[in-house]
Amino acid sequence: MTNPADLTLPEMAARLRDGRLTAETLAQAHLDRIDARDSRVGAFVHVDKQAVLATARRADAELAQGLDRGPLHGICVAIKDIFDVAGWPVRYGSHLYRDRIAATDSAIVARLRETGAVPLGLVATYEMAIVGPGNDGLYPQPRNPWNPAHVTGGSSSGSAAAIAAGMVRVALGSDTGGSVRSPSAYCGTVGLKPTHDRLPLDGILPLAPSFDVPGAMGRTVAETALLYCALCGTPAEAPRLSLDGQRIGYARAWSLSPDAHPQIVHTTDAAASTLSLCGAEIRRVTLPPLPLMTAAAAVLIHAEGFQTHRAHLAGDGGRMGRMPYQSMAAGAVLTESDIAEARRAAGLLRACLDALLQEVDALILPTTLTPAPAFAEFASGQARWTPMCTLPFSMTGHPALSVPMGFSDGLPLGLQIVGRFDTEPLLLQIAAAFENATDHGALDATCFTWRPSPAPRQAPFFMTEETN
Amino acid sequence: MERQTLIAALAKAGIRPTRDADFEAIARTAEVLRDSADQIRRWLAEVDHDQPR
Repeated sequence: MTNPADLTLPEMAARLRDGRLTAETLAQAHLDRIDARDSRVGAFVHVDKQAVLATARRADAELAQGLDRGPLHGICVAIKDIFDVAGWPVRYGSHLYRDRIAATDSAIVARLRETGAVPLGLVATYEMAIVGPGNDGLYPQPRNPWNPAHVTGGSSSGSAAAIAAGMVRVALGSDTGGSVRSPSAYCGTVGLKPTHDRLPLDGILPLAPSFDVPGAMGRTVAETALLYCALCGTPAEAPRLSLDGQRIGYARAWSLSPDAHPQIVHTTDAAASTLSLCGAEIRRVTLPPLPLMTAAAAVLIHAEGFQTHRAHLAGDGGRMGRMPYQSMAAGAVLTESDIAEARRAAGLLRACLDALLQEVDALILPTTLTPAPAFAEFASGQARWTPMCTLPFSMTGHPALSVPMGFSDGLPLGLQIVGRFDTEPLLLQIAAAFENATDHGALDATCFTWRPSPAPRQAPFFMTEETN
Repeated sequence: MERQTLIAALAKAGIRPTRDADFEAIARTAEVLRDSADQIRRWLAEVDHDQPR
């Protein structure tokens, strides 16, 4: 008999309604799975078992009374440790907030409760959702379920790790420069960064307000879509699998960046071919240079992050982890002129992308340019740039999604799909078609015996830090 | 970026790193940010130059 924690969300929902499963049994299965696996991963940083089971029992009682709140009713959801959950120790992974207890629910968690979902626990974040993996935050960073010697990426590190390790099917993340998409790519899960301003940010720790968005993360595209639709309050429909008539632009040049792993371009080429077989018309397109877009985004994130955390940097910054402190303090060197020019550049680059997205319905490109780096590469405690293609779309505000597209060195890679504003359903449709045509998402990290990490490959060129 | 320039920029914001490792790491990131700002400035100059008058 299948462990309830391994059912998909639609399977769980069906069984909750036909009497084969209760929300309490389902929650207990998740809690047992956390007990069995999390000591090797370290994704969860707070679980109140009695509260989880009590919430699940309420969900059961409502269903028994005929109150059905929809597809997430009775379903467990993990929460990134920057979303306020009333009464929970939401501490942002930082010693600065080690005694903090959230007073009220964040707007997103309140929406989750309205859908009947069961908050399962808090999962790790890179400290203050800034940079990592640091070794001096409030808790150790999770290990990648595909290989514990490797990082998960961040900052939604615990969300991706918990899903990949089979401890939960869906989780809340947040994305400022790639914090939903890069851990999804590194951990072989699905992550959707919605259009900027699509979802409310109240009760979520800010970093760079013109970039910050809450995101939906899941084991499969359909499950991610269910979470996203619940957060939006829109009816959930299974994404269509045909891509007939869709025009997809393939920005291949970014895959050929000097710091890209050689496998990236081959895997992304294969993804484009697969989408073509699904019925899409693939067109080669040219985006503005990745280094230029990344430079503009880096200036703006550091400028906004510096303002957000200025009081801490000048006051009790000594209690922050070194990586986030050092990264944010550097924003002090940016002048008003630097920031104004970066904003002007961002506007022009957004217009370039909008024009391109009139010629095609969506873009594809890699999410990250390497598989997950090893922890050993961060042993010095210094932040470093991890090559990725996420920052540009955080800056422009376009929706973007990462879906598993293959493996390199035994570690997952992610395909990024980017669309016009408010076209999340189309991105989910393209991702669902791709997922359906491949078996990447079907592989389970926990099916593989963890083994010693192979000798590290020659490290790619890193600029200085990982900015998300 | 010169050390004194960085110290002045940090001090203006009330930030006074006490550890050498912090200062060196901030300096490295600050250098990348200055390069990024210069890259943007050059690109905008090209854009303006290419604009029809």
